Amino acid sequence: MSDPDHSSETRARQLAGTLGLNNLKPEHLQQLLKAEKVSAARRALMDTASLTPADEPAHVYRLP
Amino acid sequence: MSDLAYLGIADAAALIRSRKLSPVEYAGALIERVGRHDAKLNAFLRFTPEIALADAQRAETEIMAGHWRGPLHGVPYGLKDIVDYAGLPTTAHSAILKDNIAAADAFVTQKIRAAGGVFMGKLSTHEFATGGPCFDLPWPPARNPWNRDHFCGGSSSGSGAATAAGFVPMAIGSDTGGSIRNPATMCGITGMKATYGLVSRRGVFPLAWSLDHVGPLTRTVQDNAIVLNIIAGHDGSDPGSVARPAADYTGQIGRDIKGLRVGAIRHFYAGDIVADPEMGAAIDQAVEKLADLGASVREVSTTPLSQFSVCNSIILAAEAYAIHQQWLRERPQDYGAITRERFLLGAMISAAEYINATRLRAKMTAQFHRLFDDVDVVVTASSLDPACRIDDPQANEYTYARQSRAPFNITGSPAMAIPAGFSSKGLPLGLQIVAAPYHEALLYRVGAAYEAATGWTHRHPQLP
Repeated sequence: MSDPDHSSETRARQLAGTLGLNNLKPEHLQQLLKAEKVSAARRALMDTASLTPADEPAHVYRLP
Repeated sequence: MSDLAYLGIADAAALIRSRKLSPVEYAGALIERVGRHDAKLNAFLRFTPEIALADAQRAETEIMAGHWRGPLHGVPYGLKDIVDYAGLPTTAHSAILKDNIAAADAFVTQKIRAAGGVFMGKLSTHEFATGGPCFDLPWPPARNPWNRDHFCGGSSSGSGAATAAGFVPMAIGSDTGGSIRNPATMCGITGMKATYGLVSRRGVFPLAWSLDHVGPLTRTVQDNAIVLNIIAGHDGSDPGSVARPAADYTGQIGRDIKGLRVGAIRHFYAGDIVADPEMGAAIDQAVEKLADLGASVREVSTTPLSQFSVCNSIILAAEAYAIHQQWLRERPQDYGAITRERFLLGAMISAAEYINATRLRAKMTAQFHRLFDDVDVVVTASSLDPACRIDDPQANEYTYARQSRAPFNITGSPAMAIPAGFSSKGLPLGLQIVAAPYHEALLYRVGAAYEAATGWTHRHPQLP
């Protein structure tokens, strides 16, 4: 039997390492996993299907 | 003077100019009030009575010599502690910046000091102007003067609490997803997020550059316009600052609103999300009041609130992460738990997702601005709930997201929160009025007409 808490922390450590967040403590790693879930839920709400290639960002580079 | 605590800027200016009110006496009364009550409200993070008295003495000397600088001369104010005041720490209410001494004044600080304002101190904020009330920071969170067991809104929490408590008649806040208008609503005062770029952000610690606005919190609409007159203006050192001709934002106050076309965005608070019944009823009654005053009111609709909210949260998280990435790598333990969780969200957003959010922003902004082909202003909710208890993290997390302010950070539109009554528990309720870019004077006209017809701003909290 695998320990779900252990595997969750291992995955969180790998994720944090990928992001360069190597000083996160165990409670911070849980926050990182929560942030991952919350951000995925928010991204899913974005209506990107309505965008066409001609739709430019709100702030595009302009010469001064 | 019987009640200097609730003297407005317009009245104070008239009394000071005519030498019927001494700036030193005025500052002294407010200093005494802060000393008596702020230990229970925590509005001030750094109280500076010695600077206030020096500023007041200087103002008094100048005015007695016939040099009245204008309506803020001798008038006390406070700054959210992300706004620089040269020589003092700008902490952003965070251990990360507790020793960060400002080398120069922010643009808004320069403007208010040049106008003769009397500096009372730095005001509490949510850490780095985000998150919610935290109890794991070097300073306690500000509390609501109407009931100290309740949240006072944020992130300009001390700015709202201090103004409502009669500690200052004006405070400066910032607004990235509603952080001026939330405390204004929760504390029963007036908060203006002017058009993006109208007030310089120079010297104000950023949360998300493309959404950040700086603006005033006051107890009345007229006072708010007086402060905006002073702090608006082009600043070549802020890349977002706009060059516009000087305007008098008090200019339309006192005019009626007969025939003005008002669009009510009801789906924000009665469809996309359903507001607390008392808040929803207060906004509906406010809309009826505008009709009673002669406005031509009709319901209008725009993009669903959830699209604005998600767009704001993705842009905010991505830009904030760019600012905080290094500190999150090196000293994550120095953030409060709520703030750290908020900023870690930004680590999960890809470049394409951020860019797509800004593409949606452009589309939604264009669609929203088209409303003003047919209406002069729109009204909607600010918060969807009255203030919850400050010690209930679940309630704070739940109500924090239930708001319709973020759409106007996305669109950059001028948006003002004003009082709209009180709940059965005696907590303030609020309304939001929004106009097309650079139509702040019109917003103040509508707000002042509603304020005069309702009298909500005459009520003040009994302080603990």
